[in-house]
Amino acid sequence: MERKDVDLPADAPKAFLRQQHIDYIEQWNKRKGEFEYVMSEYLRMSGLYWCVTALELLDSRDKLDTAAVLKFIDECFDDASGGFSASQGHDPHLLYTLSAVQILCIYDAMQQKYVDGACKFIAALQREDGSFQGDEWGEVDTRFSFCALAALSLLGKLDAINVDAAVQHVLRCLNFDGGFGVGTESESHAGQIYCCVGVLTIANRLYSIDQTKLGLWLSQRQLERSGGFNGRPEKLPDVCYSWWVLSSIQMLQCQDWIDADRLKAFILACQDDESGGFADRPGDMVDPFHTLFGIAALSMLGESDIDRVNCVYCMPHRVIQRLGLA
Amino acid sequence: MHGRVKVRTSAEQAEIKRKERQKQAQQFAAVKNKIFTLRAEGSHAPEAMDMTARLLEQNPDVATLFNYRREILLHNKKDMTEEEYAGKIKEELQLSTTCLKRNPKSYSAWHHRRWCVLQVGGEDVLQQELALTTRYLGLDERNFHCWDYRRFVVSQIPPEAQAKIDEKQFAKVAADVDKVVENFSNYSAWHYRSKLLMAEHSVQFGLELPAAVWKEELALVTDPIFIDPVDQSSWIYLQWLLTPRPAPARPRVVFLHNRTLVIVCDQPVKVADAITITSGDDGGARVCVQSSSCVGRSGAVWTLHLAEHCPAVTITAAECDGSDGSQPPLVTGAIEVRQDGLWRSAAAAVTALPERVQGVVDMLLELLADLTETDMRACLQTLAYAYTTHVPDAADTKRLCLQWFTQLQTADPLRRGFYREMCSRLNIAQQLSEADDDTTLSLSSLHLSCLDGIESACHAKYVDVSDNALTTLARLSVLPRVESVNASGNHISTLDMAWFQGLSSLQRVDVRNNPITSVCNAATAAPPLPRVEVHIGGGAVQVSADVVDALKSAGWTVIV
Repeated sequence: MERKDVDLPADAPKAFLRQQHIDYIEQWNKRKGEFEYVMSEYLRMSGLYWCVTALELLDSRDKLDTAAVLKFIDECFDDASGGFSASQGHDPHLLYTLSAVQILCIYDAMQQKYVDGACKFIAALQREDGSFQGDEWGEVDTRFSFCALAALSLLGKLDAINVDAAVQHVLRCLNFDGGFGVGTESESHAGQIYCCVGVLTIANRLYSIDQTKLGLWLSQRQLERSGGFNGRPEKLPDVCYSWWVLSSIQMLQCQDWIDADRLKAFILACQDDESGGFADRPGDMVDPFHTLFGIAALSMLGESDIDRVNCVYCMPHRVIQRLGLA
Repeated sequence: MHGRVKVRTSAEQAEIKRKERQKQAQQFAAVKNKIFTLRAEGSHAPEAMDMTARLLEQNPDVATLFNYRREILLHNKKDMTEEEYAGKIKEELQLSTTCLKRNPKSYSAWHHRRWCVLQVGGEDVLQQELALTTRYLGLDERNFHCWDYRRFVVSQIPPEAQAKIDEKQFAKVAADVDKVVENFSNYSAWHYRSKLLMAEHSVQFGLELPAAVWKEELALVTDPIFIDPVDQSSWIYLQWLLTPRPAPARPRVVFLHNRTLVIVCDQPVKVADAITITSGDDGGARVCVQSSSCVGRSGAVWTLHLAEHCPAVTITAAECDGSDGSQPPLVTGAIEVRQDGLWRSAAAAVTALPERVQGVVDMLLELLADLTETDMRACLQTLAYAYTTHVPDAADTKRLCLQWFTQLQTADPLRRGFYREMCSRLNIAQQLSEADDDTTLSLSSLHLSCLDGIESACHAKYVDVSDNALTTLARLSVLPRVESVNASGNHISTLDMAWFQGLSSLQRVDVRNNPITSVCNAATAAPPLPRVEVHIGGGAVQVSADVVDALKSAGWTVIV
């Protein structure tokens, strides 16, 4: 029976188009009036983090105005709550607080008020059962658990929250297949698994789960025809899962349970050789999100033209080393 | 941006389209600015509701706009009757529906629905919402937002009304056999069934289900397996049905060398929390664990570094009240170990599969005969899972699983590394079960890609893992007494000095005939290693000066 998968077009790129990606990201950030740019304002802080990290991994920091980025981050800092918003005028949220903290760490531009603010903001969002809500409106998601632990560990302030309760909540989200979903009742999904495995790695609690079972489930995300990863059984492959799955696999230390060469060929085929950037699948529209995760996955696969990425934080490994976390 | 196919257009067409969209974006931004100004002024006016609705219909992911709407609604609630407020909330649900038509995976639109339901609730609203999820899942049976929302709605229905809905039936229909033929079985539905069964029977593992229920589930999953033996969904569900509740963790091997205590259990457990260590054989003063680390992926192998050197230690269950139920006592009675003395449990290995599992195994073996090599992968893997889970120490397991995993290396090349590791584990277990209980560990030429399992011989002094396919020797940390390691003829490209940390008796390491191009952690590996003789090079291997220098800087004697 035909599975859900794609074939790589014969003319798809087979080499890493480094310079074109640098140009793509540089251009993206200059298109402030364009439709896509305006419509993605609600996630701008994360968008910036994708661009900043991608450029760092390509050793091209100068393609972004760092002073302007830092000014923007300051304007998104909410004194009252201590959190960061996606863009000026939007409400602070855990998602964008992590993105802001990540950029500040990469640029080595942390300030005491940000540290104090983020700690206060994040601690206030932990619920009694150890889970985290994204903001005051009460949406709960294991993504937010990861945001909380990742941000606080980057700040060296894990003691601001109850780490053990956070771990217990994540473990309550464990499913019949060894994976994790959004919440305690939710289906396993590679993106959420990255978040939960990240929480357990940061908290040094990986031994609490069946790593062989989860590692096998993750390796089964690799598809026969394309060589790419899907995020759940019987779904199409997508470049962003190259990151979510491969980073989880790396945290579980079972990198050789997948075919790295086939995966690499799939990721390279998702490049757009006209515009630069990566799409979810060969022939689709590119965007900064898939561009970062394509580049980061290639870094893990040892592409020589890319700086080493850290598999827990999706930041340059040298930054994580500077912070004493690796 | 997922699944948006790039359409190649002429430059002229593209420019017209771009301008159009740019104009649209400008209008969007202008309205957004107006809204933000109103909000800053503290307005709760109807025009703010109109404008936010307009923008959300175009872009449902702007969470802040939903936040503002909720602020306005809550603010104006006090001036409304209950009925009027309920009417307003219904409008919100309608808006969310419109938003979901634009983006069925919009986090903020789904969250807004939840908030609405929590605001008003009521039987009719809940039933309506349930019907909406049924409709949406008909359009996309894998939308996890919708599944989660459905479960939320069900959780809001009061227990007395729960009888009217049959979620298990719903999950069954969604995973229906007819659908398997048409479009694979539905993994989301299998997931939901597992959750419903776990809740209904207060169990976590498939094999814990009452026998009659278990049989029904097996019957349900058998058809899809026979119809489409490649579909992962049903196999993963079947494997869950074969999964027992793990027994409480018990130590299998305990070994003390200097200040390193190695404890190997049969199940994952955080050892340091579960035991108390006292010095001397008759239980003297309590000994502190300075640090503990879990070795490998099983959660069952631990090395503990004790704060002081003791001639012997006694291990007993930690005095925990167990009120949180998280840490079962690891040890019943006391285990005494002397320096360099090995303690091994005398547990009798179970060799027979449980009856229900045996039934499934027989069925799968029959099925196997009709399958092509590609189609039999999940079947072989499930068979191996049944054996390794239930009778890991049986001779049959080693023989059969080794055969299946070897077959899988060819049949499923993408995951060859996994199967090689499984074969390595089985080969090591086999080798150790046959070995005399001396202090030499001979694992040469076994195609090993990992060293999982060598901890059963953690008292070894001499290790030969030559001529395998190893890329790392990190597992040596479970051999605190090791004096000599022969790892020649492997695939090591980076020699990590951290592998040898804490191996205080190490004298000789042979890594000849490995493609070593770099050494890492030479400077940071602490405490300083004793003087070790390391043999590198050999045959066609070129040894770079950098490698030699790095090894020398760590205080090793390098013999090329």
